[in-house]
Amino acid sequence: MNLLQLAWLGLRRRPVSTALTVLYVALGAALALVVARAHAATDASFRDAARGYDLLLAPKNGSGLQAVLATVFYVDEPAGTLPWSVYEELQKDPRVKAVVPYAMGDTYAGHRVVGTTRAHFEVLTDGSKRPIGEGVTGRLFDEQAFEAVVGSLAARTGGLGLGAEIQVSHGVRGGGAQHAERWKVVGVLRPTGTPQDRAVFIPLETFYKIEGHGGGASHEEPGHEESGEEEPGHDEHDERRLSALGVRLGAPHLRLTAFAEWRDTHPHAQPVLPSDEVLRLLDDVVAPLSRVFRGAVGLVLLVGGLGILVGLYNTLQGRRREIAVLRALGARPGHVFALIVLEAVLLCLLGGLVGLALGYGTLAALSSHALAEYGVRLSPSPEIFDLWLLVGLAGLGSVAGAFPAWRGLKTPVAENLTKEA
Amino acid sequence: MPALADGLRAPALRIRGLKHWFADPEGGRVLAVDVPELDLARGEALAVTGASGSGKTTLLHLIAGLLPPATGTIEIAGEAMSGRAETGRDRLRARHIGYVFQAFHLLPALTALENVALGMTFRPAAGVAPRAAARAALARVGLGDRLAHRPGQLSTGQQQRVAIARALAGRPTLVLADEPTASLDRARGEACLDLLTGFASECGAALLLVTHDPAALARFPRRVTLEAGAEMLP
Repeated sequence: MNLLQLAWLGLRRRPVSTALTVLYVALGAALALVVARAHAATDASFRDAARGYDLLLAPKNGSGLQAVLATVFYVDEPAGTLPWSVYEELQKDPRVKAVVPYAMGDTYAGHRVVGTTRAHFEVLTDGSKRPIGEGVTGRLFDEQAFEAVVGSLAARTGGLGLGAEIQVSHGVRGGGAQHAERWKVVGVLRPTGTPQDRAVFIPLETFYKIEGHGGGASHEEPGHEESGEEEPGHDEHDERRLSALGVRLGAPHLRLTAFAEWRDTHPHAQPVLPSDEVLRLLDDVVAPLSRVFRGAVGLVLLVGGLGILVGLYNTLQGRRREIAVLRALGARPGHVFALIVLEAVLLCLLGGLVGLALGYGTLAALSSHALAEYGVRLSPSPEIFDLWLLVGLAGLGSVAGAFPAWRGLKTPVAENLTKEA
Repeated sequence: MPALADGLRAPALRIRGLKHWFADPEGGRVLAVDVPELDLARGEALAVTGASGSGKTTLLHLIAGLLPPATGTIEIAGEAMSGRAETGRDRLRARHIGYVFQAFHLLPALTALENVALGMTFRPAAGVAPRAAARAALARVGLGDRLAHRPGQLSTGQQQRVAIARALAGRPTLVLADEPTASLDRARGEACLDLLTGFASECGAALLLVTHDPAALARFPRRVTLEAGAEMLP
């Protein structure tokens, strides 16, 4: 018989109060787990999406964040356009390993329509570094044909299967006039947990064949055109304009030097570091929200700790005889203190274990939905955070049990041994 | 090992000039215990009697170190109980004293075996395996087949036998028994006393038993009477 066994027996003697306290702590722990995983998954999703390119080249008249939101996450409007010549320059630059052009300005059923090349599907990867073009159902589009490849979420919500025909609408916010051209869906991307799941991709060449796109890719908002930059005397592509360019460099160390060079010297475009912009976005927008969530979870756990404190304190009156007997059998005040704190720690750990199980179950139940609907990969498997959660809960139990334990060790022994039951 | 030898030669209990007062509601104090001198050798048995309020139970609490005496000295196996801090008294009690309560005070959530083993949980370096010793003690009191029973599943007499086993399983130097037969009928009381005195004798433990039962008192050749607010009468 040791103190741990005694503490366990003490809890078993009060099954209802123990079960309720465990349940409360468990709910707090499950909430903590789900919030932590959702935060980590969102964070990873943002970072993974931003990792696709070393640099973006975007129009000069928008912010870097706007360029990233428009080009990487497909949630903001492109700030303007770039001349085709920038694309050609970069293709010749020896530091550039891959460059992917983007032209945007239309939507299909609320999903961003992206004019690009097949390189897009080879350069961009998902969280497990697998190119997004791998595992496509059907095939990738022919760059000269009116064919489309759709993201998994866009396919599901738009009811798009292989062979379906789509007509896109003018404007990135939807609601614009429908274009006459039709694209046939030839491929559906596998779910990647990236913004690619939400978009519809068409060959860049066909984007320019849309009526009104021939002289400029960005035609969605007045004032976004940079018509002054168009120069006469160039080849047929000169009239074509792009929303942005994604650039993969030959080596990581080129990132900052290319960035500095293009920032200072490029006449038409500004370089943007997607990872920096995403970090700023996470710090400015996601982190405060996350702090609010974590604060709420902390509050739930704190209330759980208070529940343990109050519960143990309330049971003390009925346990004074037991404590007196233990003391008469030789238990020192430290034993009594440790016994009551151990009970609180056990309650928290039990609650934590039940909470982890609940949390894993919830994550498992939500994971496919979260991936399909939000492109977020929730992990229902154990991680090091879970261990720290248990350690934290044990600490919470120690603190919550300290006051009742202190009161318990003050129990007058002789008085309680002789008191009538 | 002279210290150990001295300890073994020392009486199980030695009291000199012990007095203890309780505060009364008027702000004064009432003499609760007054024992000028008392020695109890190992293996010896002593019955203490007295009217209600004569301080019998308080005397046991003082000897067990549950209360610090106002004046005087108490030694258990040659080690001073009085004058020690609370933790020191706890250690000495755990090492040397077995306690049988009038109301048994078994923990209801524990089995008979666990209750008896609990008596040895806090003994520093007892040198015995608590569960094995508990099993043997329960067999000695005739409850070898009730190890897994909880107190609520045992009769009153059986509960008292578990309490006796708990007090003696750790082979204490001194057993303090507070009205151990008060909750039992005459026949069970007799059996309880037989068991207590016999088991204590086998363990070489001194037995100090408090009772106001004349039949129980008659079984003890050595007995003393406490008078409320007065000295102990030989």
